[in-house]
Amino acid sequence: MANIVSCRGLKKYFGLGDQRTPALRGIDLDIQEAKLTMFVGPSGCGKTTLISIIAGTMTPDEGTCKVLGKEISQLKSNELTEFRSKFIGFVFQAYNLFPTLTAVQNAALPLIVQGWERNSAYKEAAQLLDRVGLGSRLDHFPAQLSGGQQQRVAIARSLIHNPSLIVCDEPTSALDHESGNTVMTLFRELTDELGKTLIIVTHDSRILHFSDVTVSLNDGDIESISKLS
Amino acid sequence: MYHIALSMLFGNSGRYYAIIFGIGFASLIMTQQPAIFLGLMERSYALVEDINQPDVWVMDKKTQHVDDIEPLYEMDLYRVRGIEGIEWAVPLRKSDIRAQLSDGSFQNVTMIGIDERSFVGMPSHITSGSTRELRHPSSVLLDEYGAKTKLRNSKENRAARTGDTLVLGDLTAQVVGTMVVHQTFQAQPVIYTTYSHAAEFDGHTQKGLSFILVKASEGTTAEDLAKRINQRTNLAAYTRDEFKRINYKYIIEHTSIPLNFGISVALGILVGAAIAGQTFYTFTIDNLRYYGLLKAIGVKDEKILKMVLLQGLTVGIIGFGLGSGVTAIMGLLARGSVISFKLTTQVLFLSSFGILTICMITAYLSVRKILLLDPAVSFRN
Repeated sequence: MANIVSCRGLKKYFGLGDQRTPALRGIDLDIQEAKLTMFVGPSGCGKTTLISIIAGTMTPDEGTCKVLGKEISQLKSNELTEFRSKFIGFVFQAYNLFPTLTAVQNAALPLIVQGWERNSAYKEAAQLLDRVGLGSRLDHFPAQLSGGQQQRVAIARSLIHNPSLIVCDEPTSALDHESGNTVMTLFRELTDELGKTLIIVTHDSRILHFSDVTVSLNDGDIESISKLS
Repeated sequence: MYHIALSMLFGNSGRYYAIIFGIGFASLIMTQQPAIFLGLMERSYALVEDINQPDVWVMDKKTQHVDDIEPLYEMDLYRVRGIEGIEWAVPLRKSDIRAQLSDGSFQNVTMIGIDERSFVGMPSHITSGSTRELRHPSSVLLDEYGAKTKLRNSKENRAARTGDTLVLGDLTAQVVGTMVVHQTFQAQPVIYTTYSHAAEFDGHTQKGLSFILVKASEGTTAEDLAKRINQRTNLAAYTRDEFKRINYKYIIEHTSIPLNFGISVALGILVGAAIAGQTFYTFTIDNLRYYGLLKAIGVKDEKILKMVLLQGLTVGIIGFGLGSGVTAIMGLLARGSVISFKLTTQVLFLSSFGILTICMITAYLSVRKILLLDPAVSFRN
């Protein structure tokens, strides 16, 4: 199976002068297509920095990172923005749903960004929300939904523009065990049935068994990579 | 995307109302203060506004303002009448006189003496009595607002009216009617009487002719006639609009009123801009994670700039509508009162321009924070 992400010698620093601290110390990593990969490790180990670089929301200081065959550190700001809008889906720990938009409007957002006509985008979003089990909650605002339901809206939003890669930051940390399992089952289905590649940053040891590959990071370096058969 | 920008704005009702209040307050100050200033300035030529029959006002060259008069000689009236291009020329006497009211108190009033044959110089809106009644001995017409306020009959607790008397100088004057006049700069009551009655009330001072009111004959323009009168008589002669401007300019140049109002307006702009700017900026900061999300999912910086400018423009228009609306209501309430007020389209245009500029600058300053924002912010909580 082809690599969808390929990083070599990836380094990232924060701060300036004496305060300069390495967040990534030269990461070499390949991530395979249609797999569910998890980044695990203690706080400050560089998980979020690494996923930010792979998602194209942060640029590395040194090294290369090819995503879907494109060297993203070479892309200009506008090209990177366009790359993200076409190929990357995002799921965040705090869901980041617009509180003033309904579930269907939130889920349709990436299509609106791509210039879709509003009603067509809402129709597409409604179908997707139905698939994640929120068909009866289309016109609910985030405040009217439970944490698990909000995360499912966020997942629908990450999928709606059919991205090749979905990056998720602590998607279950704000959820109870049952809701977390529901969300992870949904992620598993995305990989198994739709062939999506998922990268998940997590602290939650209860969900590790959902992964195909687990990358353990520590102090800005990869400690181990374990693949589940 | 613009509907998302608007939903972000209207959805955060606390911040939204704070921004609208700030901009509304600034708009109120920026429209209400200039409107009061213009209303006050309009009073500087209240007499010229009330007397709309003549095309040209003739006066001594030393007369600087309608309340700062150097009297003319009676002979000047005949000199002016001898100039070609004149349909008629009539005298007008203006003086301040102390009136003793029925309760024995005194009140300074502005007395206007008009030509008793033609009654040229009489304001057009007579509310009771008639101009002809002025031909009776010692008769006067009172301005209606003055009759209700400063000339009020305090003994009977009512407005002064036809049939009342008051003492002007050493003579008892009979009220024969009331009329509506523009409030004067000095804000004292105005009484109208005939030229000869006014001279009697004044005690026949030698030089009582304040202005000569002139109508141009057909085929002669007011400007040409004013120039001709000036050349032939060496008296100052102005068209109605010129004389209004001279009065206006006198107040601007010889009083501190424009400076005081300017300070009020400037303070209003500063306070309003500070409130609006601070709340709008805080609103933007509150929404940084959502802007970060938009950037992460592929919204370009230009689009975000437009979204924030749209939010700024929207609150600017709504806030200005609110502030100028309150100003307009205040103007309606001020009608017929002692409060001066004149809200013109120029005031509205300039203040709306000022408000929208404040909003655009505020939006621009806020958007800089967003443009510098790393989209990776969405990964941090």
